[in-house]
Amino acid sequence: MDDFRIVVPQDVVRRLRAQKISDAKIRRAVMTTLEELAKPTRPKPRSGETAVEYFRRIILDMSGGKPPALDEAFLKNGMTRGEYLALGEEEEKALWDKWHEEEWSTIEKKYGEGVDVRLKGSPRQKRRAKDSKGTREKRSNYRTQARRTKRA
Amino acid sequence: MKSAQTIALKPDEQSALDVLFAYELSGKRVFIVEATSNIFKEWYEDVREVRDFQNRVEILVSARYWRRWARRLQEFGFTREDARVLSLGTFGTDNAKTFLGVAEILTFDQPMVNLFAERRKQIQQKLDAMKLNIESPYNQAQLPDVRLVAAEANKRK
Repeated sequence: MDDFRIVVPQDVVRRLRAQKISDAKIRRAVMTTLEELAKPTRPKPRSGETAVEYFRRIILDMSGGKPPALDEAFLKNGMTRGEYLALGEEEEKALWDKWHEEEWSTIEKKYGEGVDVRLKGSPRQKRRAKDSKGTREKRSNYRTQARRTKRA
Repeated sequence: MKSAQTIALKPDEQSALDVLFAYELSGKRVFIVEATSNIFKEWYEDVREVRDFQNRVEILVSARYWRRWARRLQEFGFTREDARVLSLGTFGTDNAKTFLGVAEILTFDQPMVNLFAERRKQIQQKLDAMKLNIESPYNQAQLPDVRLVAAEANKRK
């Protein structure tokens, strides 16, 4: 997709410029639309179909109408579907625990303390976020030259 | 996998399919942790069930403070992995980084659900204390509800 280019009609560019809409904002809007468009379309459940029936139908459709073969290779270590499905509860759990531990370590290295979040927020939230930069509840906002009480 | 082979599902497995099905019909967003998603990557091309499942869910990404909060959750007795998952429920986000935390965590792990329910008040206090010292928007973080998949499936019947 590196060489994918979109040509925006001049009229649209002129109107965007007239409204002083930044390039970053335009890029974000285009990406949001494209990501929405790229979402895979999935078959809808039929009337009265249960969850198991629905998911079974999808997998069978993906496999040309036949259930995947039990001797089909399933894991890179050579385990077949049949062997994986025959694992006892404890064996299966141990396998997943091992995989998860390896992955969590990778994730901790990848994110460190985590990514920054940009909440869109309501106007009220935005106001509060702005206020929290130090403008809220400043003593000088309330101070006047007049004395609060008259002294005798 | 089992449903495609017509192998009888265990009650928990049946519940998971019921919940995924119901959530999809109602348009709810479903997330899995990135560790699980990474494991699935190896199978994506070859295993149809994994490909179909991955296309139905999104990944919960670790946002700032998730690691710190996971460490604090471990002090309540959660295992390292449970603490990481619970922490993502509060300090997790989507790929576009547009929200903070999720409404509910569904799990098969009964001890984790019990411990969370038992210590919820103290966990809340700990989170409130942490929020005093962190900046916006992280100071808006909330605890998710933590429930068993089976309980959620029964609720929807």
